[in-house]
Amino acid sequence: MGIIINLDVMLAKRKMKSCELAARVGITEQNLSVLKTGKARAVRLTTLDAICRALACQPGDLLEYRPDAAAPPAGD
Amino acid sequence: MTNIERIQQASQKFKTLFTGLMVVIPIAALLLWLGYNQLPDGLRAQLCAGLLVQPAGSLSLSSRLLACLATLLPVAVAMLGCLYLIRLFGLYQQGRIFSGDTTRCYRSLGYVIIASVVIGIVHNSMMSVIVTLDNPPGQRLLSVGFSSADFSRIVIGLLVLVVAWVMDLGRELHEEQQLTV
Repeated sequence: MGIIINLDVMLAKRKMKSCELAARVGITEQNLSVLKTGKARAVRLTTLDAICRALACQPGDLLEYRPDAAAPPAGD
Repeated sequence: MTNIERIQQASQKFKTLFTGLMVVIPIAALLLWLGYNQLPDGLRAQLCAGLLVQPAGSLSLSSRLLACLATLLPVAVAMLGCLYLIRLFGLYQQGRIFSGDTTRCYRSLGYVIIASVVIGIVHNSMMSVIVTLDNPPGQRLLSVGFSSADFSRIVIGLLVLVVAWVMDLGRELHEEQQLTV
């Protein structure tokens, strides 16, 4: 999948620990780890909203799209 | 009590039941056939209820031993079914309702039920020869049959296979849900 989660970068920029963000957002550290490591298959808009609010950032700061060389072009 | 706790509690009881059955079924089958001549008429009729050909009277030792051997076939299938059920309820006990192992258990159970029909036909045919083995030449029988009960079992087996597909879909949704943040 070509979606990259830049949560680590934003956490470093805001000098915030994962456990603190998890507490502010109201999700478990385990779930936050799933998100950070890119294992997540879906992100709820409510979670994204809470993360953006906690880190004072935009969704685009957290999510990035890098085309996957191995993936077939869209529509195929 | 939550649903998962209820499932876990019931699974523990079912696991114990099928573990007991796995021990009792082969012992009972062998003892009943070995002691066939000593059984009361009612129990004899029960034992032979599913057979296509009923024994005329008492059976010789060789016939009883052969009956024991032939009975091992359906007994093995029943034990295999119990084994998969024990495994399934063990998984439920651990709280693993929608997992790959659970799906595999359902699929295997479906195949065991379908296989039991084929084994049942072979067993019944063998038993028809065995119980008439003591008869004089010309009165020995080989009977092969397929009943509506066999058809019902095939349908049940196929239904269990469909349930296995549904469970696999459940597993996919469960994994999806676990990876949704």
